[in-house]
Amino acid sequence: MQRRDFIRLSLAGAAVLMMPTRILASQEHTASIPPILILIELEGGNDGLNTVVPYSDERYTALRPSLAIDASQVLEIDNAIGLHPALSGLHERWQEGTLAIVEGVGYPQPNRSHFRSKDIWNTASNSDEYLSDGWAGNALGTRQNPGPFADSVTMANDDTAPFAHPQMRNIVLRSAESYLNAAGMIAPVPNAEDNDALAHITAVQNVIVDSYDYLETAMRSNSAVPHAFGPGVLDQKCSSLVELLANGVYVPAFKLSHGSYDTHSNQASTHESLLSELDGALAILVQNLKALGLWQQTVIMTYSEFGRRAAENGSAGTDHGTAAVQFVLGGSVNGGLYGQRPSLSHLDENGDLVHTTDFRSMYRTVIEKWWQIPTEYLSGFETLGFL
Amino acid sequence: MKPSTFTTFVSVADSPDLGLKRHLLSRTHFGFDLQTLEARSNMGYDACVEQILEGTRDDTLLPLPDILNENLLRRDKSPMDDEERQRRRATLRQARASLKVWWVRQMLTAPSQLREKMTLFWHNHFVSAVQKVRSPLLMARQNMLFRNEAVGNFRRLLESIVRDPAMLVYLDNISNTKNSPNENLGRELLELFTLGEGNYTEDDVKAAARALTGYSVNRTDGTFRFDVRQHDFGEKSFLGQKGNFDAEAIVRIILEQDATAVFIVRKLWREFISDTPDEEEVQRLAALFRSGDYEIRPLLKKILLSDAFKAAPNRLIKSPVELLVGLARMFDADTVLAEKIAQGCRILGQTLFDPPNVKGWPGYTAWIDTQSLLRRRQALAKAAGMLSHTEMEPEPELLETLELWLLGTDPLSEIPTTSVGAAIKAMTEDPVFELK
Repeated sequence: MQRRDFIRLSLAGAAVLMMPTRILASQEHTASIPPILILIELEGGNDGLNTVVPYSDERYTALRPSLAIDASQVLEIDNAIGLHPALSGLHERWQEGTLAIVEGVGYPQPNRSHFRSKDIWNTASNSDEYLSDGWAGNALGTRQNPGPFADSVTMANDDTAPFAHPQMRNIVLRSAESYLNAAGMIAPVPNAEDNDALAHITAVQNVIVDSYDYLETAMRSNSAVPHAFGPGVLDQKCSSLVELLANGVYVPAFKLSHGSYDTHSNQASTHESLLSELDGALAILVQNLKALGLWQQTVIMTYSEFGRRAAENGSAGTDHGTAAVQFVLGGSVNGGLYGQRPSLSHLDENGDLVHTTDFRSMYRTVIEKWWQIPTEYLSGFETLGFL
Repeated sequence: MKPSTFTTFVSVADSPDLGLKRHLLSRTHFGFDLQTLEARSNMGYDACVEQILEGTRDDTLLPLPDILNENLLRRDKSPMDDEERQRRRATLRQARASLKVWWVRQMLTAPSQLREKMTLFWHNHFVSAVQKVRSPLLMARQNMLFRNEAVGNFRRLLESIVRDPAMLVYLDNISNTKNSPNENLGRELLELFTLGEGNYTEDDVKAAARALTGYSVNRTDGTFRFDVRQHDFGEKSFLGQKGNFDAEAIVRIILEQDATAVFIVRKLWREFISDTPDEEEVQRLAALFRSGDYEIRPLLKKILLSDAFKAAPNRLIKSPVELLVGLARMFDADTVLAEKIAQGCRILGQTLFDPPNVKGWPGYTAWIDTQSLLRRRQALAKAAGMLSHTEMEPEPELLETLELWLLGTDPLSEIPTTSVGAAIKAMTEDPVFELK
């Protein structure tokens, strides 16, 4: 028996908590720049047909009575296809020769569930195969000489599944500043082993501890983002990313998501604003990479769990489809068209495009030709010439 | 809620199975104070389960915020001037915020915590989000459906959800018509609500979408409306059966499939037991669930009494709602904190009435990444800074009891013994506290 304390949470008892500041280890900052990939997820299933428009194909206008983009509007790529009018920045990259357009990207026996198809894209699995490691995590988590700080950075709230791997050090943050403000109070803990949930928590906690000093030292150089971004959500994610790069914080992979591209109804206006946000943010991102001298060192790649049905639905939208076009851009990218254009007259039994390029070819190209990491598990897929 | 002005405590040594009962409470409650645990010290485990399940018959509900009684539905198409539009928008925004705070307050005070947890479970199963639905009134009505059947009957829940206005808006069924079907609800009904991926074909999705055509919403009062002119009365072929199926028929056929009960039981396993369902045991429970006409309370009883359940303490990760509402309940927080808690849940990635997508919050390890772990620790540190009157030095026995109550097992970090407050702060910031 013992007298016990009176324990109660109350606003009146609120006290501002002082965050302990860590003693900072001075750290040698080496500026070796790894090949950087910025992965942009077009979440929800981007409509490839209205992104890179087959404007001269009369079947396109027949399939899309209310959604077809008029030939006079598109930003011409060649006499058959053109970019959605909102993609003027990407069109400049095309003219500059730093934009690769990969057509018909997908996989056999396509799955039209967002979640299952994301799993497939994230893990580079076959349609009927369930894997747990992410495709990028698989490559980066097993590198011979992992760099300092971390293997990847994902912007807060975006899906981290491409980086899933037991040895992967993935940092999720909103901005370097907010991360450091909170990370200073975190102490190392012994890694838990026999309890998966606890092991995950202790691993994440120790990644925070290990990243703190490096990031804190780097951010002290206090270099600003050369070209300011707008206030949009995607813009702000890009801004946080560029801020890291400006201060010499390099990891082989950054990831951010944009969306939702799940345009089941009234697609035209939604899709236009999405593409225009994407194009606007990409344009400033490229400007910044050029200003920082990182344009040659960076590849930006888009992906999306699927494209959308060739024919529009009754709600002036499109339902879940299969193959779609993806973009790759960067100073070292060989601009041009890759893959084959899916035919609009040979749709599958669901009325969807039949894929011509396996998405794992894009992954293998990046892993081998960009990161220079051997990929045995993707050897069944050819590399593409965009790098 | 009454503050914990207790002067005695039960020592762990005096009640050997207190740890198991602590596990039961931590999975069936958002959080509990020490007295709630101590009150179980002389009860048998099975009696505790029975008490919690019987407790779910208590449907005490805080009144919905008054603002929901205002005219939140657009009754006519007449043009609005800018001022009117802005006023409407502000009212809607305020109503959405009030609804979220209302639910937190309800979670803080609900006599049956399990019923409240199951209401949240169904919200995360039959997902709709106010961001798309727009109307907080429709979301509130959907919440009433979830709480009425929270531990009731899955068949009734499913029959109601295909006529639920918030759901019909959320998954675009209001534009699912005979001449131009929209597959959104049809697909998710099979993939996420009942059978699970791999147990149906694309043709079944199309048939389900056709069966759901014309299931719509009255613009004037936001109630369900069956639009006869837009319904496809033609013959459909669905999961091997042929007929002029409507949504009720589709639901009936779905409930005839083994896969549905298996899917639901597996999800409940992940909610209550562990992230690694024992497939054999899942099949067994699913068969009983189906033969018991999808009654939920008996299924929960089997789960809570199972060996698998008893063997899995601290194997799951608290959701932001469980973390913050739980913390407040542990320390008898003022319900005025509800607003802060609702904001905190949003910051930690769980905005009530607004799951990120139709699959809901993925849960488990997805709750914890570097960003969210830092935010959680900040929230916990802030809460620890709000604890009052905790300067006294604890005796070792009290520390042991506090550890059992707050962590259920040994902490990973060093716990200071200088004061009760410092010890509690260190325990809530220990990685083990993130578990349930």
